[in-house]
Amino acid sequence: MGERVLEVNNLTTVFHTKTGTFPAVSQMNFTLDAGETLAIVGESGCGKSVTSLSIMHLLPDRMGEITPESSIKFKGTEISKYSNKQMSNLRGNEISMVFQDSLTSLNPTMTVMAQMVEPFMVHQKISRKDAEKAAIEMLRKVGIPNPEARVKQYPHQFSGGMRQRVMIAMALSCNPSVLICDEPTTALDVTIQAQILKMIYDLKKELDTAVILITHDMGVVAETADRVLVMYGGQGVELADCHTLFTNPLHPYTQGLLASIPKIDDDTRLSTIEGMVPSLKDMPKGCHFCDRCQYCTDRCRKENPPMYRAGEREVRCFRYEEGN
Amino acid sequence: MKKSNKKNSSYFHDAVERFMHHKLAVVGLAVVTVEILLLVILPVIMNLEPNAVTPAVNMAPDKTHLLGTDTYGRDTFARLIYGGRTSLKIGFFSVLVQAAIGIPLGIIAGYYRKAAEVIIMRLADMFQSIPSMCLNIVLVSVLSPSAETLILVIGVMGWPSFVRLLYAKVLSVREKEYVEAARTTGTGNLGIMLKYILPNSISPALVAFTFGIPSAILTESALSFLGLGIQIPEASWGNMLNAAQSVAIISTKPWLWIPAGMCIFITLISVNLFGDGLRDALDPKTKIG
Amino acid sequence: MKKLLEVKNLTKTFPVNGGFLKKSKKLTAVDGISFDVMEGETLCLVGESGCGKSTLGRCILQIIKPTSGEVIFDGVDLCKLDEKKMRPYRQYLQMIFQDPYASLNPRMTIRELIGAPVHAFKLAATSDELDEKIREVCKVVGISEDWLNKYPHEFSGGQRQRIVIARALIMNPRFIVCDEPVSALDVSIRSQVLNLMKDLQEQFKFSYLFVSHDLSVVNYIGDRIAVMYLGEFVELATKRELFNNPSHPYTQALLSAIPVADVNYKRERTYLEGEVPSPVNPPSGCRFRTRCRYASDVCKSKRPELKLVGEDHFAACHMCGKITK
Repeated sequence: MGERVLEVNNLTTVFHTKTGTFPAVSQMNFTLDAGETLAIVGESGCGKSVTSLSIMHLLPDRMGEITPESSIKFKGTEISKYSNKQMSNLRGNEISMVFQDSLTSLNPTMTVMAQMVEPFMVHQKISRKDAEKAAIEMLRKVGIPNPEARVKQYPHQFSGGMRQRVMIAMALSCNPSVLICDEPTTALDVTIQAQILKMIYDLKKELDTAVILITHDMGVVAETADRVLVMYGGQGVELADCHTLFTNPLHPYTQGLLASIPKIDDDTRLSTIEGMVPSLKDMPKGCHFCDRCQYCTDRCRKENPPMYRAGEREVRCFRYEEGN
Repeated sequence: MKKSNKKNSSYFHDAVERFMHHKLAVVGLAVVTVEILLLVILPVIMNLEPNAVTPAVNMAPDKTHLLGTDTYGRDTFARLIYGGRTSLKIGFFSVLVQAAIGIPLGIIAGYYRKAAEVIIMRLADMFQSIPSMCLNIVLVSVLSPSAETLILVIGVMGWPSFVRLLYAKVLSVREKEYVEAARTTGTGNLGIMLKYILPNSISPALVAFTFGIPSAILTESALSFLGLGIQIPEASWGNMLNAAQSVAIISTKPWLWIPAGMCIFITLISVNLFGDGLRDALDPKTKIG
Repeated sequence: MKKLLEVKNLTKTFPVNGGFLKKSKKLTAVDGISFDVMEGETLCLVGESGCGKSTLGRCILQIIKPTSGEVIFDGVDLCKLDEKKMRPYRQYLQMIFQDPYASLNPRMTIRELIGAPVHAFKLAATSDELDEKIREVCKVVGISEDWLNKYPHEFSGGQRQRIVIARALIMNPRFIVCDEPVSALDVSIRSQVLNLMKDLQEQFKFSYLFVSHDLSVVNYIGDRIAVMYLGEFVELATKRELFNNPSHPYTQALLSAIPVADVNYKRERTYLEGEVPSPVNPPSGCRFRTRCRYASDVCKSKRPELKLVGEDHFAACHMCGKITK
């Protein structure tokens, strides 16, 4: 693995709302190396998107706040306390992001070209002419046929898959060290999803970019990730390399999650995780999963377990305490 | 008392409960209620003669004339009460006429689309493109001014705004899956319009209703100014305000115009607060407490 | 097994872009589709967005009136009935929608929502009888009684989908169209709902038409599967046949494109080139030919018909049998 580009330690993000302050994400720890894909997987409301928005400093104003104990190191430099101005030098340049909804992420009144040359001119300080050339080159790289002509069109003239390619081209235009993809293919059809995922994989290889892939789809994880971080209730519950996680999940939630996915070659009765995800506002005091866990003990209800290290992997469950 | 019998909780029952938790709205409702009660009761228990001309002209407030007298020596307080009855009647009923025409037409236009939409919406365009004051003047002068005529004219001229509000909202509501779901569970068109479309698209109209009342009161006063409103000697808040047209009256005889102005103002505020509360109460997503 | 429902040559076209003095074009969303639904079976429709699968489901229930064709239920062609004559049949033909947030009227309590169809069809004489019915159906789908006086916004997606299922179930339906019923739900909730739907079918013996884009869900719940592309069936087969022996190149590509949550699952992936053509102006001949790597001249000129290629297995492809997987 390459150079360490991102190191997140004890990241806690709180949200202030009318009904009180609560943590949307707490005690997140993970690292990211150049050229690797880390998948952050979890169900809706588990905090996976908040994690990425925290790294990017894109939390909603006055509502979301990174607590002072949190540490986010980008290439060794602490960025968690960066000002907005300092961050905007990083955003789009060193760390880029691709969102799920490409239609609302692109400005409908500007041609694709007008939107694409901007990051080149702002961050790389090159002339408009060079920027246009670079933009067309980038579009060719993400597999848009006939980019010279298409670049003069408006976003609505592109299909969903093509728009997502444009988004990825824009995100990669300054050759960032980290690319965060937040559900990049969720709105797309499976055949298009396969194309896009392959393209992200190929480009990552070519540019040696580190990718954080945020998704709820375990299938996408299994096929694209190097390492996986499973989140539940605003916390990471298991971190392992992809192969180990799927073949030998440790955390009861990961086990339940994998067992409840319908298999393509097997239609025996699905097992389920009973109950439902607690809302972030009233998380159990102890382990966040305790109400749905079959191994739950009194201790689980009282104390929130830390991440225990088990060899190369980490898991947030008291059952693995002695495995130190 | 009824709380134990939660079984019969229904949409309107819950709406009342939610409304009662909206403090300002309850205040608004209370003020309007008190106002109406006063307007109804005071003439009965007090000996008020709004139209009696006395020699005591332009008197400042004292014991016999609580709010003084005007240039004809009429008791301002008595005129205020009787004028309030007329003004509120005109305000409320003319908006009621607007809503009664506008809401059903708006729902029909938005729900059935096609021909109904074209006819109703173009008709609304036509009505709105005519300068309403001009037509008001023509109509009132043809029909001879009276409270009933004013209600009818303001009501018939004002319905397009309700149609527009409802129509716009219904267009989005009719595409909701729950409307489709209602159709698959056998609900007929009328049922869908009443139980699904109406409750989900009524809230902007309710707010418009409360705004419409003061605006109708003011329209009446504008017509009064032209001599086409409530005819003197009969009083209305509108024609009382219009009496204060000279700088002299404004600066030296405040009792002639401040009470009527205050009454219009208080009515406007409390009716709006009530409307606000009503809108929130009709939305189940409003949290109680 | 007995036939429950017969669909013959069903077509639905929508006018598009028609404006004042501008000739409107035709979008053919469903193009001459025929199939049967057996009693107690689950027939799944899969395909990508815009292939017409949801329109087909709605056309069968007459929520959208089909342009032509027949839907025969109990010996009656539903397409010929007006809304009034259709009403008695609505009781037996129910629908479960994709978005449980949009398919429940936010201004009605859960009790009113579940009871609404009973009211509409006057299935209960007294309010006690209605209450009894509601309580019964709640028990079956796992809704606790203290939900009944609450409003939809107080529930999560999975709970709402249970409410939607209860509303369909209270009518004793014989046929339920499910339009992507679990795609808005989280994985751990999805399996609960899928199991519930399966159990209910076993208990009450109704048939499902299950519309989905997710082949792994389809594999779990389906008996037979129809694959749709641009308003047509390209393949119709039993689940085993389709997954083990896909004959149409589109089915093959679709199967190979699903991400599988199993790191040991090995396969050769075929990537489809390009995107789905516009249904306003579909390709001549075989509609899939623009993206098909086996396309030949005959595909350009002649439209392939569904033909038998194996036991209970139909495919619409000229090259069937000539191509190797």
